Amino acid sequence: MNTHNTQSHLPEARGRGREMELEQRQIFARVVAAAWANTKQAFSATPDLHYAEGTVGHQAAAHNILATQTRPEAAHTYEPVPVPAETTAPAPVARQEDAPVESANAAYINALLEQPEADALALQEQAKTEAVQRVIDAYRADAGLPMDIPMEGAAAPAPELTPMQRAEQEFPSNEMYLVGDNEVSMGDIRDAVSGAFDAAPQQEDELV
Amino acid sequence: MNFLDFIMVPQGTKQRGTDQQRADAYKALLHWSAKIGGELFGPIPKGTRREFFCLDERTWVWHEEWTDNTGQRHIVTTRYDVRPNGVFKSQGSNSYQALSAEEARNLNNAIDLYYQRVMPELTRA
Repeated sequence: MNTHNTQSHLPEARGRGREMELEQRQIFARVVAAAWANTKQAFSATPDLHYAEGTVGHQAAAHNILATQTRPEAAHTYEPVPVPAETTAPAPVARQEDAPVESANAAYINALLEQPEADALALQEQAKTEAVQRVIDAYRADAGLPMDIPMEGAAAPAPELTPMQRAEQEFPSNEMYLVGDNEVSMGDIRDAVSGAFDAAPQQEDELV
Repeated sequence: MNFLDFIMVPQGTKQRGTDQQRADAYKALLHWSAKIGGELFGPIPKGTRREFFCLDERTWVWHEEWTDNTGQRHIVTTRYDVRPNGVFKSQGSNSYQALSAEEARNLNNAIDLYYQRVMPELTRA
């Protein structure tokens, strides 16, 4: 197992944050366990992918993920992985341009991608892309990396929000609040306030 | 408290702060695991940023940034989407591709290593 790490142990919070940290650890542990199990199940459902655990040293095998990615200089940094003779799979895709699905499972994979729920999957994909981008932006901000380096293949950055849009994000219109004994939505409150301003702008000072 | 404060400060402000703390704690765990994941693949070259982590129950992410010989900065994020009948990968805005046998094997080993490194810390009392 690789041991050249600098942060193998989680830093521990103290005080009241400790309880919350433990709670989030448990949640994340469940996510990791579920992801690991789901991935194992997915691989077992594709018998044509004849991966064999233990046939390659763990670190070297993980190392070779990079060899299948899009970096041409990877060949100079890591050992090239020979394509197993028993498989008819093509060489790994050289770059990230759209490549036709050419694996041995092309028939069923293409059928999957052409299914009517492809649109729903596309929406999920977009949500995941946005989630990943948020995580990446957070990493870059934490590491002090410049934020303006475009990500290869990424979509255009989102337009800057207007003050009203930011307000809508911060206080969604469908969020409910108690005003006196009544429960009202933020959207109703906004309408009432804007109506009051529209109706009597000279009374603005009285609302402060 | 004036009228605007009354309507703009919802009953759940305290809850909102707690939720933010939870989100921050979860994000910190994600950060930590991503760095651990990046170290699974051997020494990280200077100037390169590499991370590998579990985003959710059905997504693994490989993220790498590096500078080539001409000084141009590259960023590639590969997402491995786990579906009931296979694992597919996507990079940037490109469509999904099936994994080759070799890449599937490597990903399988990588998630095993990630699991072995991360879980003991997460389940530690």
